[in-house]
Amino acid sequence: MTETALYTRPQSLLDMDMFYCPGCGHGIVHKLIAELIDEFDLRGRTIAVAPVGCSVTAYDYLDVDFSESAHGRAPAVATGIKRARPDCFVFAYQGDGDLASIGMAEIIHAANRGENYTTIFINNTVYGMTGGQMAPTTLPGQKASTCPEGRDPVTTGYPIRICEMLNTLQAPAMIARTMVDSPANVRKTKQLLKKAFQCQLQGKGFSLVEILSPCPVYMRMEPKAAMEHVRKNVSAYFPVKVFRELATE
Amino acid sequence: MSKRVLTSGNEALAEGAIRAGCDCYFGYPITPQNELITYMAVHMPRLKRVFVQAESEVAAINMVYGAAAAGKRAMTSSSSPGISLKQEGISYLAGAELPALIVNVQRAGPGLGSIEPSQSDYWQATRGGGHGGYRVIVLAPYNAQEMHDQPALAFDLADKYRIPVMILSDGQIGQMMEPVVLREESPCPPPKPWALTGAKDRPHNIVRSYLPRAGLLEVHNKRLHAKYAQIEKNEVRAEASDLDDAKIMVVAYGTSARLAGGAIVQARKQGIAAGMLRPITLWPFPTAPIQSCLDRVKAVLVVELSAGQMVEDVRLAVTGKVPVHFFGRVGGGVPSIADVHEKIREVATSL
Amino acid sequence: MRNYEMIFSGSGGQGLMFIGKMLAKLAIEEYPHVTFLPTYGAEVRSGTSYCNVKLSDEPIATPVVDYPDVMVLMNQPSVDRFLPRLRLGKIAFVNSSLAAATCTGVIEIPANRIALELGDVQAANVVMFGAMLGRERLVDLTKALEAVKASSARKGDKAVLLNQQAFDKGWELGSAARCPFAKTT
Repeated sequence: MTETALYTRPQSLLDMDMFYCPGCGHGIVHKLIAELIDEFDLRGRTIAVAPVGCSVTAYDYLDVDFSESAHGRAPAVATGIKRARPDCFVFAYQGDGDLASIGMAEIIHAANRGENYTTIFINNTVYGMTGGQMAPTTLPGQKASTCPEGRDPVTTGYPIRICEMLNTLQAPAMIARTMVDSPANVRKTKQLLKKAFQCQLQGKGFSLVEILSPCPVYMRMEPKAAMEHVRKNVSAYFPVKVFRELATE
Repeated sequence: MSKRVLTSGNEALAEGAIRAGCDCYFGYPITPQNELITYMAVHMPRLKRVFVQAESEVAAINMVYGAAAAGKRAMTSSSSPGISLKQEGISYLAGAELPALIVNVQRAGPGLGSIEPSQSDYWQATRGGGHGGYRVIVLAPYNAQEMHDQPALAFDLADKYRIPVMILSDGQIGQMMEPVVLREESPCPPPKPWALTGAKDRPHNIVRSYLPRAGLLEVHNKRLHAKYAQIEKNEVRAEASDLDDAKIMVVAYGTSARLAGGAIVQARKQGIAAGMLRPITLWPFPTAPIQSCLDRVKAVLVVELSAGQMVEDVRLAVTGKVPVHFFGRVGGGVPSIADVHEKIREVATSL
Repeated sequence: MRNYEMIFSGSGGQGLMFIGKMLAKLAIEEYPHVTFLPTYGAEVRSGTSYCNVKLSDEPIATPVVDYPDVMVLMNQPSVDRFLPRLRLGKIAFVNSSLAAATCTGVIEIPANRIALELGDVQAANVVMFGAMLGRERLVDLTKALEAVKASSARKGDKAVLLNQQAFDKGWELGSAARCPFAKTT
């Protein structure tokens, strides 16, 4: 009897125990990225950027050249890398506090310049690394350590919809929002990431895929409930949608 | 005499950086360094090199970080308030050991201050400027020729030690036009095996300063400081003039050194034995060159366009062996040569 | 030892920075040390635009001119601001079309009127440049005239001719200018 391997760890994913919390979405997305790097045979020319956030040490898991970045500055760092090495495949992996709060200026301007790199934007509606503080994406009423009674839009404003905002710009080649709440949507997410990779490989310009992702610990839920929360509540505020997509097959 | 061209300090520096092999320039407008970014905007694209006008000083320094991480010679330039904004990025460059060139064409502060020349960023430049306890090499040009020549030195030192290097100029040196002999193109820098180029046929490279595992960051810091000690040993640069018989040693850099030089000529005409030690590296500070004169000189006079910043380093070097006097103006005020001359006379009468 | 310190001042657009810079460019062929310091930034918008030029055989400690050997003052605000710095034996060339200044050391050149007569008031700065060089002879005449012509080459033959005539007329007036008591020291 011969054994056939139906599934293996992607080559670009290092054989390490991830330090992410149980039920966290980062591991899922890391794996999708690694699979795509393998499928496009990009390992030898990929440079990734991980700014401050839970995924700042993503280089422990993804076996590609990696630069850390200051909080929110990944779009600027990625701009510098991509301009310096236009033949490399460059992606930045940012969280919602990083991208939508402290790094808002950098992401808008990188998108507006149409920088030809890919942003993978993990939106879990909360600051994870620092211990569950309110993010610009925190839902109204959602409790966090800096809004213990729940987010009050009267004093803290409303969650910022990044894709919709960036979609007002002319330059970006791809803007899409997806979620990793179910196997079907994980597959869909991979398809969108693939499109984003193609956008860059085809030189179309800036691509961003926002991924709604669970953070059970700071959503204060069991992993399964967090998945359901993403599906029901988070995606109700942040609709899953392809806003634009210019890649060709 | 080689062919000379009349050029502003800012443009001389820009052309010097280009000839030093600067691959990528990222900047943001601010007076009095605008001629520099404008020159780069014209010339870098013509040479098929990278020019980006960033959305902010913060973005510009992080673009430098990215390009430097990718192994390229990268630089940014600004003036005092903008340099404050860049400090976060400079700390990251230092932590990640990335070579880069940062140019500060100083203006007066604090706050928005004014666009007049100043030397009030000495502390910020020589103490690292940002968080975390690090050093950057600081070069101080005092004419357009040095503005032109120092980028090559800066990039070489940056690559050699994997450290950010700052050129600390000021509005007057940046704006003033002088004749400059254009330098030859620098040879290609040595290979950078640590750089991010895509992990083709090798383990992946990581550019980082975050070392959360217990003990690693201390090891990293100790290594950084051992490197700083090497730089202090090897890279001190200073220019001595008229010091052989001097009783008064004037210590000044940049614009102040020009003024002091003019005042020393006047003082010598009156028989006052004054000379000058001009630091070219502000960090590493020329402590030893100053100390080597202390057996002859009777007093030291420090001249700065500040309320007295470098004077602290001079006092640390002199260790009380002779009196250290200070003369400076603040808030964009620039003394005349007569002012400095008067101060030298005053010091002379105190001997 | 040669050492000349100069101030060129006028309102923005009168081209005083331009002739100051042109002089400095010409001078680097003839003097080991030259500095040109413009006003910059916000000050440029305040009305008076001026520059400092120094030519010397010795290293120049500061590009800032306190008491000039030669001044070229194109309008009344410039005269009001800088003429008090005129010391005995020094010269100020004043554009008498726009400014009044009659004191020892002043050479009046009706630069706007001359430029207008030649066809374009814009050439007034070149008239003053010619007058200043006609008297002071700081740089080679032929090269100065070449530089003046080259600077307007892009604008066509008419502009070149205008500038040449403006320079010549200025030179003629400057060479002939009598300025009693000007060089008593």
